Amino acid sequence: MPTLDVRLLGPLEVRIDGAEVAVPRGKTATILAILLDDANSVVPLDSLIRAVYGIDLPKDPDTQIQNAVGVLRTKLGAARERIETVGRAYRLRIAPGELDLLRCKQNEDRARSLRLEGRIEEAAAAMRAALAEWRGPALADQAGAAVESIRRRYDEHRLALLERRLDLDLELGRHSEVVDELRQVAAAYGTRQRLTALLMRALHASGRTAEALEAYAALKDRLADALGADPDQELVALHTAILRDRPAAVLERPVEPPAPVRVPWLAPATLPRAITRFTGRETEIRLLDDALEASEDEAGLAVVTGMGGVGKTALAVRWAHRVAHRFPDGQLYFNLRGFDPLSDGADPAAVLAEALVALGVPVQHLPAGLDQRVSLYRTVIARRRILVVLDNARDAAQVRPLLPVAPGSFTLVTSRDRLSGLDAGDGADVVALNLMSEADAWALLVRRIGRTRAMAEEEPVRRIVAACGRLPLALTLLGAWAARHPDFSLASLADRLEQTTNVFKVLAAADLASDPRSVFACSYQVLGTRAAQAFRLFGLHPGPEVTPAAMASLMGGSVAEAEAALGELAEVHLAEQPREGRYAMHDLLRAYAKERLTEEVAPERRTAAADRVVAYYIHSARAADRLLTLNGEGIDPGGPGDGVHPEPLADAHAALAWFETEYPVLFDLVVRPGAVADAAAWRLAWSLAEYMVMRALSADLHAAQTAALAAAERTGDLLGQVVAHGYIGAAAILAGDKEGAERRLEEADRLADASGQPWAKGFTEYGRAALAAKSGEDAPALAHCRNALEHFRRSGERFWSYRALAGIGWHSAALGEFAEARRCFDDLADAVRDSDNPLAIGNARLGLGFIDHLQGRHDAALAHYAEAERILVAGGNLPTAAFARELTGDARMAAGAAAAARNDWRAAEAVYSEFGCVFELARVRARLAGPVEDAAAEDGLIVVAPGAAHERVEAAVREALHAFGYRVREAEPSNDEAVR
Amino acid sequence: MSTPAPGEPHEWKHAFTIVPLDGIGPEGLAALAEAVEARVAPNGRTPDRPHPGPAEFDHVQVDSVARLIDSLHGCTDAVVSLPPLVVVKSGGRLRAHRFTPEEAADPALTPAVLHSAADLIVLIDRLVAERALKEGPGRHRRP
Repeated sequence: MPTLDVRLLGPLEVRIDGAEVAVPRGKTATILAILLDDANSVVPLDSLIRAVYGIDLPKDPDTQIQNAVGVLRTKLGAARERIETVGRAYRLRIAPGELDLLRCKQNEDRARSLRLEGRIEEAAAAMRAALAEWRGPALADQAGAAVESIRRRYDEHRLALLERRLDLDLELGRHSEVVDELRQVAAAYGTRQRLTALLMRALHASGRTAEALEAYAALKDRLADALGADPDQELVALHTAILRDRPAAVLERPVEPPAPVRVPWLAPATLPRAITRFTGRETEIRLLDDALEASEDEAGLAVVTGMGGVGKTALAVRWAHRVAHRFPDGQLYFNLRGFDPLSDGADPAAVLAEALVALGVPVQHLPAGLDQRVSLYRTVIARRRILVVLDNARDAAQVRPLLPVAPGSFTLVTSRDRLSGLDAGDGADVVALNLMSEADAWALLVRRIGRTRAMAEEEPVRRIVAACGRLPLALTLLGAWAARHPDFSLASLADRLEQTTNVFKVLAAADLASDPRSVFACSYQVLGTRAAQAFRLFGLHPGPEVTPAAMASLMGGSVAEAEAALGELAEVHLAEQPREGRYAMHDLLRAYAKERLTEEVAPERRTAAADRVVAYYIHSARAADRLLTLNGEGIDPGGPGDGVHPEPLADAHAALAWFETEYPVLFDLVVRPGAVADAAAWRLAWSLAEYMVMRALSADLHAAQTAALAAAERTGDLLGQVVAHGYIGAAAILAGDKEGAERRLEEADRLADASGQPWAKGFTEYGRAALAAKSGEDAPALAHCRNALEHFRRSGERFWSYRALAGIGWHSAALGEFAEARRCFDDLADAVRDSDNPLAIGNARLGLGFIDHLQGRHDAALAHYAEAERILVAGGNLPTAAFARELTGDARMAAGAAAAARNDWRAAEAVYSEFGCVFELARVRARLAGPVEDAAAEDGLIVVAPGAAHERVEAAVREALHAFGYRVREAEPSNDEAVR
Repeated sequence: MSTPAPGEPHEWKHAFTIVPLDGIGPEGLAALAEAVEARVAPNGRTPDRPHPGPAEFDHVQVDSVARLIDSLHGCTDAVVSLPPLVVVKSGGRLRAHRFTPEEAADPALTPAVLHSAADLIVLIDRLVAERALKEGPGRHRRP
């Protein structure tokens, strides 16, 4: 294969095996430049026409361009194959080492990575190597609008690279070495502020402060003359810092605007486990391989279509694992549940949210709308080689928002639908998955039952394969059943299978290949009583996965029985166990289970089971809520009832995991009309409310509480209406709608008055306190907390009384009323000392620490915070324990231990992030984002002539600063000093 | 301060960073400057009676300001810079001045200048006079 050496970062040069090739100037060279600009990507013919001719088209532009490409191929001679025709488009294939532009990018990427690793010296060397590829202005010997556009872009990029290299040199302390170069470049690009900033830093660090200031003044004049503009904020800040003689280290920070939201580079790997006994499908795998190869450097798309149970998911997952190594930036898998008999399938917006979080986008930065999520998704994966598997898609509309568009990514969709929209409109390669061949079907069954047994009963095996219609799902089920019954005659099984259509009259005319119910029936029929009951009840469960406790509630039996039943279902492959303690079912089987339930179970028993599973959700949600927030003491929903087993949740982690998994089901139960009885609906919504507040899910909270309000209004339950209005107000607070929140709280207050229940009044007062606190109005917040406490005490409700008392203490402290604050937290500590309420005990400690902190007693504050954290961790109140750690960081920072403070904040950040505490996360990240203190810090100086008692002045300065809310921070010792 | 002759003791100098306690913004330093400026009469003398200060200053703050000024009275030459405030004692004269942002950004008023108590007294008097004449904060050069 001939070797190319092509250069466009300077005059255009092409060499083949070392021999120079003369490319004709004009049209041919322009086309080559455009193909090189998009090297290894497909450039449509129309784009070439537009670039070469603009609007002034010749008579037959297609032919003109095709001829020019022909000339180019001729010139390339032995390397002519490098220009490929791809439909009405061209692609120039070239290796990174063969093109100066690609070599430059490689070095640039390397420099960036090295810089992130702190290997500055090597980063600077890599950046020099990147710049060394340039031999002058890009395409220096070419002309024309298209070439000019490319040239401008590359030359701008060259300048940016130069700035970054100079920046690295400054980081390495080469200030005086780069001054001359900087002067020259800054003079050449007179109004480019970044260069002048670098020059000022270099001069100042070289001890030439006056010249640094002169450089600023000169730029200011140039900007005024040329543009009538002033220097930007960053440059002004740099100028001020130099004027104040800040140490050079302070100025080392690059003068760049802060990045908006940094998305950590996570490489997700969410493919499910591949089936170990995968059999056959070599042809389809090869077709998918071909589709992947053909899509190189494009956004590839393939669709596996076929009937239910034919093995689409198994093939997709198997193939995805096989090629996962080619997608180093991640592999995502989503089950879109397009054919779920009990739901409408996955909402693309929800799937996108899941994808974005898996890719590292913080929950609080997820946009609300589908379009915005699509944009962010495409942005996040813009330069990633990523594999996306979209399993069980309903139609093209469900798939389209989830398709990556970046070159190098690949999407594999499975669907029963042919998704012709994707085929025609999106260029998808379609792989039709049909029934297995006789040989593959036989092999699949034999892998499960064993070759010896199969050979011994050759004829029955053939009959079973035929009865299963070569459908993999059916063969898997029967193979599992037969393996579990090694003594059972396969001939009897074949007989039985062939008779099942008579047993199930609905299937009398069923074609096994299109309706596998007879096979399902065979597996179902031989289940034990409990397992068969569990199988049927899968058809009633509102969520995609079921736990033993939920199944026990559906069955009205014990958890042990349910667990055994689910285990049996999993053993015969009628259910899957995607993770420990959770069971799922193939949608075909689920549809069949639903049929069996309807036909075999009396309506009143079905209703009782449905009621029990709703009770399971209500009581599990309440238990999870109590573990996470200690909320839920206000209203007692009564006992769970006979046969209902709330989820056994050990701690806050388990509660959080349960909420996260079941959230869509819980939300659906609340908002879907008639899903839950009205009396239960608003209680369920309330159990979910604090989790939604924690996650700042304001839209969901509004929707759920609106449904809850309607339910409470229908039953005339005033208390339920108060709670619903209150939380709709909370949703408004989360959304920043102060007026909306006020209106809701007024309505809640009116209803609370009508209810005559002191707890309801306390609840609305507490809501008003939250609203005032959100606006930073401590005085009204304090007044509302006081009112709330009075009402809560009258109602005898402890948890909310503690909450109000803590609020009084906190707002009093914020207002400087330390005596009142201390009294509150002492009262709280006394009240809860012997209680089992670690949140309240911990809060009392936090409050006392906060007072000490505000009054400058840092050691005492730290002791309180440490004790609070210990209590909260032991009690499983991890988000509040993280708050204790955050406050510890604040106290340490105030005491001058900045590094330790940052460690504390990072520890708090990790927990907030895990629990999705949106506001807390934003707050602690703001502390970590920059030295918050430094933003408000000033340099102080005391100079006293010899002879005077400087200690007295110094003490007086410290006292005055403290009286006005400041303290003196000494310069931190250098590393050497610290070591000593 | 003037450069000491060989053998003479050096001036005592302490540079540090002023950082806010939790929840305090830059307005705290402005308030301190206001309180000190109010306590030091324009003619450089401390009023006979302690200035009560603006109503929002509590007694702890007023007392701390009084002690700061008293401590400077015990010095021959001293400069205390707590931006935007500079308090200077030189000879028998005591001055306090709140630098405006424009003054603070003026290259003529760089920290190098702020080390000289005598020069600062002159500069402050000049700034105060100019401000009184409503000439606004111009570009001032040290005399």
